[in-house]
Amino acid sequence: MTTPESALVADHLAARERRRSRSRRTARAGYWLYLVPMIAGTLAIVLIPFAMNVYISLFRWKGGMAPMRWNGLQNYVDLFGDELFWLAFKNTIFMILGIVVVPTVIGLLLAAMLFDYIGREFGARAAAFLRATYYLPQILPIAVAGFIWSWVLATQDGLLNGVIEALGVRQPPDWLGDPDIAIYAVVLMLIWLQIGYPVVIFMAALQRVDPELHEAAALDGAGWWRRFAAITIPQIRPEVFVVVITATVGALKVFAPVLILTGGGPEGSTVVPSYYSYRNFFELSKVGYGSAIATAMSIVIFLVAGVMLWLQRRDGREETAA
Amino acid sequence: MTTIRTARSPRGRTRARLAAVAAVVAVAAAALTGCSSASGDDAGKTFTILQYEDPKTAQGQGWQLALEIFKKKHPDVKVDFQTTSFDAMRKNAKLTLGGNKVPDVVEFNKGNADGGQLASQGLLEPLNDAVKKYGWDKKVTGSMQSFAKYDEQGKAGSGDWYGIPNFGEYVTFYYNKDLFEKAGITAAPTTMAEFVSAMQKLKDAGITPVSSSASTNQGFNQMWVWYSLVSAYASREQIDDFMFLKGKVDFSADPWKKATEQFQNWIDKGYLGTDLAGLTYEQANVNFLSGKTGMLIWNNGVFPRVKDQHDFSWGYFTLPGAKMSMGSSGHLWGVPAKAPNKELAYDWINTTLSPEVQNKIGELGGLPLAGDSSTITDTVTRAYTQRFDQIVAADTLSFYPDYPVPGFLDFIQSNMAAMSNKNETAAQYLAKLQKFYDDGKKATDEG
Repeated sequence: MTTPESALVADHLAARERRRSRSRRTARAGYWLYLVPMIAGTLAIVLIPFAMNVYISLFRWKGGMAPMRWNGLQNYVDLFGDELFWLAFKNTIFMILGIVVVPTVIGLLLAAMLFDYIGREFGARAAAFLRATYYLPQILPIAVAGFIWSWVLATQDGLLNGVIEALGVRQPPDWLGDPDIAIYAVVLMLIWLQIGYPVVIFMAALQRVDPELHEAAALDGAGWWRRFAAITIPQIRPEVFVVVITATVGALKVFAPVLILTGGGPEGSTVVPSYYSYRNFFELSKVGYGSAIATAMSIVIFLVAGVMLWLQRRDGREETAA
Repeated sequence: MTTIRTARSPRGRTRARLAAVAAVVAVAAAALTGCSSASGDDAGKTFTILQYEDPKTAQGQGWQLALEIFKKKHPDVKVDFQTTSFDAMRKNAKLTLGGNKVPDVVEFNKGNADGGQLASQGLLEPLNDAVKKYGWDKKVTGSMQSFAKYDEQGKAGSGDWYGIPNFGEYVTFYYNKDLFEKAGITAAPTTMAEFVSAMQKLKDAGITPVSSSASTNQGFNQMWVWYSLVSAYASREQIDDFMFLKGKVDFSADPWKKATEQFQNWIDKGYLGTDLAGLTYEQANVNFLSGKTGMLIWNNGVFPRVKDQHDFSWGYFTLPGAKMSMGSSGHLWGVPAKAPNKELAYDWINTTLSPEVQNKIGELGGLPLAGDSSTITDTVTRAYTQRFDQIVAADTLSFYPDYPVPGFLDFIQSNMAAMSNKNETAAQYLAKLQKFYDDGKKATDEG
């Protein structure tokens, strides 16, 4: 039954509903406005340069005002046959060792030790002080760190070789001059540079772990190692993931330490992809080829980061399911 | 493949230009404030000089004097003397010279990769008329002119004048007389055979004969030893062919073969020291200055340091018995094509080449090109400068080996490390050199 009043009310309600949804729509359009700066930024800083990089990689070009010569996929074909490029990727494995694997493992142990032992026995201040010391290399300008390490690693009168000689070794290694071991010299410096980052993040993560878990396990007779493996590590797994992902991406594009410490030498033994791209771009004036290297590097980074994020998400889902 | 390239290159060129113009506009936009250009006579004009010499160096001090003279001569002109760094100038040259507010006179780096590119891209004004008018070709002579001239492709050695050098540089062996005496060497060697025997005597006495280095990162000494040996056996024509990409260079023949084999021999005999691939030129300098090595190969850059910091008696000589020796003209003065005050710019360049300024540079050990060496009061500096004058007059400077093609420096450095580590023979190095040089030459010829 429809009275004029009720019809009126219904009309009124419908109109209000329409107004609301319109205003909701305009509100939603309004939200897009807020995204404009971010979209513009992404376009200007990420997407357009990346597209231009891919475009340039299809040419032979010396840069500047020089003519661009169409080269199709030849740069990429050359890349696959380029020994130095493959060596650069092989060296990336060492970079992952120096930036991801070793610092994360040592960082976990150090953070747990600082938190569980130093923090309890000597007070939070001592732990905070040590944490800051581990983080110091991260604050140092990389150029300074590079110079410090070239003194440490110097073959004659170097700090490290001084220690090795004092231990009775007659022929200490030629860290920066021997192409077979220079890459380990770079790894050493990277570990030193990187170690503070996982320590700081893991220590923050440990604050979050419920102390009752540890207490209960200790009452049940679990030793420190057992608790470390069964409680600490599973509890701070999300932070471990974050550290591993960011550090891996960092390792894939490491540049400055190599430039400053070895310049890619000796005999090209410490070349990494980003350094090789830079060298082609700026020194050899092979801009197209340098861009092809950069594109290949980006693809690898996307893939690796994608796989790791997927693993992390799957891990997260499993945890909620359990 | 070639046909495709030719067919598409015009479009590619237009796009490249568009991209380059866009980049220039984007960067220049920020600097586009207060752009003004005066016309009429000199009154009220601002004359801008852009240079990168440290004011403490001989050149820097010479130019301070030039600035005083220039200001007195043009009291109505406001002179803006701007200082940048060598690296900044190298990297930004294209933007600086291509923008809307361009300096009137700039210092720039010589060579195909730097000055040559700027010249071939029309960013620099040809100076032929000014050279004639002021007679600069009488002051800058012989091989000192080589890197002042560039052709249409930007290759040094011939073509129009684009830059004017003020001073030069050359490479010598500095030696420690005390260590020489200790090793039983009574006089400085005057022939190659005497030089080799001196190295052997030093070696026998347990002293590293030559302080050297071969790190990819700033270890240039080995490269200089090698190229000094090449120069020792080369003719002017052979050097010019190599340097200015003139004819085909056969690296499997002499002087390359003989020099590189002798270089390997010196490495094998231990004359140049050990563990060189990790050493930088600074470490080589320090090893010599601290009395650990008998000799040091370096240019005039280390001359004031050896002169002031030595605690042993010392001397220097160019490689004995050599036909040519390493060295070249220094950085260049040039006038941007868009410079508003070109006549003033020529007058500035002429002022830097005036006897007062040149002799001031000479007095401070800066190896001026148009100074009078006999006026230098310090006897050591005078003799050192006069030796340079001799080499310039004899036209036997062989430049530096990394000039001809882009990326050559790192390539040579990497192979110097390999040879020093005994991982590469002379023949292997020369084969790689041939390929790298030929590829680079092809790329340069393509433009």
